[in-house]
Amino acid sequence: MAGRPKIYTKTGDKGTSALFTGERRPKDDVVFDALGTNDELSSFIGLAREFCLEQGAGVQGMVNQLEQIQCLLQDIGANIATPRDLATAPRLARTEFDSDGQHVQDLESWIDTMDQELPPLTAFILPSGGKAAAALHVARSVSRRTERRVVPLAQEQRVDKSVAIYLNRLSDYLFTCGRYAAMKADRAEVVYKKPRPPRVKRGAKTDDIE
Amino acid sequence: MLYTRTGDRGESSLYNGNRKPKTDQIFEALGAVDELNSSIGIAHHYCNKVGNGLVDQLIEIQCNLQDIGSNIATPRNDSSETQLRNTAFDEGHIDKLEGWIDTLDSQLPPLRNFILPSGGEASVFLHQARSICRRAERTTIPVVEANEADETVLKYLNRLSDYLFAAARYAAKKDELEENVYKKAKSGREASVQTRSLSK
Repeated sequence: MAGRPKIYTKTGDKGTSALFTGERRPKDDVVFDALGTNDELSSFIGLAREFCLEQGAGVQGMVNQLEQIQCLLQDIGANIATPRDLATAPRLARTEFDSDGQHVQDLESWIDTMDQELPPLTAFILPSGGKAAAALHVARSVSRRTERRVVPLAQEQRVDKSVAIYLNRLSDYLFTCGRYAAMKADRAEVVYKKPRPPRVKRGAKTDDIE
Repeated sequence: MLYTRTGDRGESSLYNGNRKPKTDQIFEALGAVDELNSSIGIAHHYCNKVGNGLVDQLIEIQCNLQDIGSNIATPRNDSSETQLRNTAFDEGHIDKLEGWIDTLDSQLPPLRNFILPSGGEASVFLHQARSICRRAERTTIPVVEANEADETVLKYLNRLSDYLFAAARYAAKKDELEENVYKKAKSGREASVQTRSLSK
């Protein structure tokens, strides 16, 4: 054990964390909220990927894509942790994200490829369609939360706009993946139906309903 | 009855009997701790399935999170002596967590790269719990700063995300599964062509 660095540094016990620029800020700062949400997103994608591996047939391509996306989310974290309005030029250059838009184009082409095989959307679908599909829908909803945390930072030019664009496209990608995984698992997607309230007065026993 | 309807107007009550709007930072923190506890519940299920030896620790952590909930729900600056004493959160739990981390970590290969949440079902659920733990910590900070919860709670949550990280790596090792490591994605056409051929 001697010489082995400990995972826990205790430096965060007082509620602050450091950015890549070295600056320390309270952990409830908007930057850490965005970073933490991005980290949640990568964890949820890790989970969805695991279920895709388990499902196997027809979704191997997705498994590789999801791993690449997890690496890109790491890059997105680096971009968020290096405030664009405060960092030095070399740091900004090192943490630039998708300046040529290629990563977004990749997502778009992956979406288009899957979409060609999918039946058209004729109703609202509910997160459903098997374990992998349901986990992809959860990841999609966390992606949207990440986007909501990043958008205000991008608007203030503290995070690159390309990050917000990527996250926006990513939720479309994950939606398509959810549908695609359901199809490949031969699982029906549950569609929205308007629930009808029971015609029973409030306070009646549950036995009286239906 | 499980439902009381008392919260229908958007308020909830604390252990000291005070009612506050559900959007209060206290309920935000309590809710995040509850989410964390639920995510550990799922991780527990998957750890139990493979018998990787983590379940007893996870259960103790879940009980501690219940106590942390009591601490947060009993504002330090606005509760009776007895209420405060009954809901104090002991520093010793943090020492115990550190002991567990050291034991797990001593059995793991050293970290040379960023690792991605990966490494099998048990591992990915522990990573997920880790990321939710960090949110719980973030939402608890303003509560501690307002002297409504104890600092030990914050320390515990900070250390807990380290524990869950070590536990996730340990679970991957027990399942004899590789953890994926971060690789810098190439930008430009080359990368996109490469991934497209992979996806076939």
